[in-house]
Amino acid sequence: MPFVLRYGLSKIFALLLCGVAFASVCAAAEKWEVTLDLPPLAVNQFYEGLLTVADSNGVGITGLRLQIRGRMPEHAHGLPTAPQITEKGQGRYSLKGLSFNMPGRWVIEILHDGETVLRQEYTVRF
Amino acid sequence: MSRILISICALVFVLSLIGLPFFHEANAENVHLGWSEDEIELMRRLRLSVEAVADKNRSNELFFREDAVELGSRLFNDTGLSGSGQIACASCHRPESGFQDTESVTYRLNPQAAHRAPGLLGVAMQDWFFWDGRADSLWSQALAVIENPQELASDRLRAVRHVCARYENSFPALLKDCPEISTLPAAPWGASPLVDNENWQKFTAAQRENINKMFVTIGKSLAAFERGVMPPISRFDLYVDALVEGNSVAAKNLLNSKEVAGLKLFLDPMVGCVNCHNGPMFSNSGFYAVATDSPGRRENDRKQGVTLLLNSEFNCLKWGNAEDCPKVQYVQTDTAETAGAYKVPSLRNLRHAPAFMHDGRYQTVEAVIEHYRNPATLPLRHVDIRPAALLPHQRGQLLSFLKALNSDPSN
Repeated sequence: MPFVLRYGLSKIFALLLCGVAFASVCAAAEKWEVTLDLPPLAVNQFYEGLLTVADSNGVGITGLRLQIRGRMPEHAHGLPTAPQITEKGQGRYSLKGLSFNMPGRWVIEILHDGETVLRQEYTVRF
Repeated sequence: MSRILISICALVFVLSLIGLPFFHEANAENVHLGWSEDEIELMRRLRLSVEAVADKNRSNELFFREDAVELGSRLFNDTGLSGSGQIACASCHRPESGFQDTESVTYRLNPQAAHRAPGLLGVAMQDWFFWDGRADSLWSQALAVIENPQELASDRLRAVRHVCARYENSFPALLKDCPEISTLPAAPWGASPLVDNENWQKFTAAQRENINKMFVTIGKSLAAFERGVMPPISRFDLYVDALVEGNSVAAKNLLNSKEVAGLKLFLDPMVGCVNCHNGPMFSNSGFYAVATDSPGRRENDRKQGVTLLLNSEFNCLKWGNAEDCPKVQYVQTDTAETAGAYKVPSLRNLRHAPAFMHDGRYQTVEAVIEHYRNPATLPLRHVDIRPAALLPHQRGQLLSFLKALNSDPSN
């Protein structure tokens, strides 16, 4: 039970799915090195960030259609804006239009084909 | 003897070392009245400030021009801007009552009006206008009111002709395009793509552009006037100043213990008020579903506001550079976030407000607090808030604190 509490049912379910049905998809995603650089975040400002996606050899992956999703785990709402991700070449993607208007814990996810390829938590300050 | 003296000195030294932290802590608590540094920093961000006003009005090049302020002041009180010639901006936004609609003029004009006219104190600090945020600038908000058949009920050509006829001689620099307006054919007298498109199409593209430019000048002048419509300082602001200065005596004289308790509740993220009501106007400029939408009347929510904004011929993207318009360029269009959502209003000077929430459903702040304690959630209804856990005496404390946000020091 503590294991379930710690890792959450959804993660365990996702691991099982990876093991059974979607091994190849998950493996492909796992091999990617995805990074998102953002400065310290505060409310009511617009931020730009740089996303990089590389394979296990460090070679940038191009041509991806990435999406961003954000939410506050303690609240029922998502991001106040609709940020856009555009490709810059060599596995680099620029993120623009990111903004927060509520302080606290935010979870930012980068998705490719509906699959989460990066999940990061941020604390947004006043 | 010398040994005794040395021992006493050593004892005093050790005692001073032990006692110093306690003394220091007690002194800090006395200066900051028990507030943590984070809380004081948060309060500093709630303190009234107009620092951001220039940035929020970047799309208005007339914003700081004195002649625009003067013209805007006259226009604000000019009934000639209305179709009937009977009402002005000041009819609903009463200057003597915090620019609020204290006499419910909105509803007298249209008993079916879905929204009430909000107060204007600090309006130039806002990011979005109207309860659904369908305008992204103060100047475009004013233009929408002039052409709204439920409000000033005029049209842009009528408004431009009126302003040129009455004010051209007094404001030649601002109204330098009036001579071109005077060359327009006398008929049709009024025209607008929104109000009377048939008449509007009778003008050439160049004429329509001239009319629009003059119309925008009217909006930008009104916005320049509203720059001065700011809330005076409140006891809360003075309390923050006293805390920052470490003047605990002054702070204690500004807020009583009940108000301070209410302030602590307000700042508590678990209570939740400050999550949305933050910044110098106590609003984060966001849109949230707080269980105030009425089934079947959702057409006035943020979801519709976004559609109207993107279709507006006066939004920032259509009158400025894209890089100056991130609010519009990256506007949230996901209906999961916008359906049933309304703008977070300011909490300053609530004493002027005749009613609360976007539709004026509550007549008292007590009723609003009760709403947040027990929001009416329905199955399948998206609501962004959770019930605020407030005991009866805490509701009273919160209410006391909100009164300290009124500008009148006697409140």
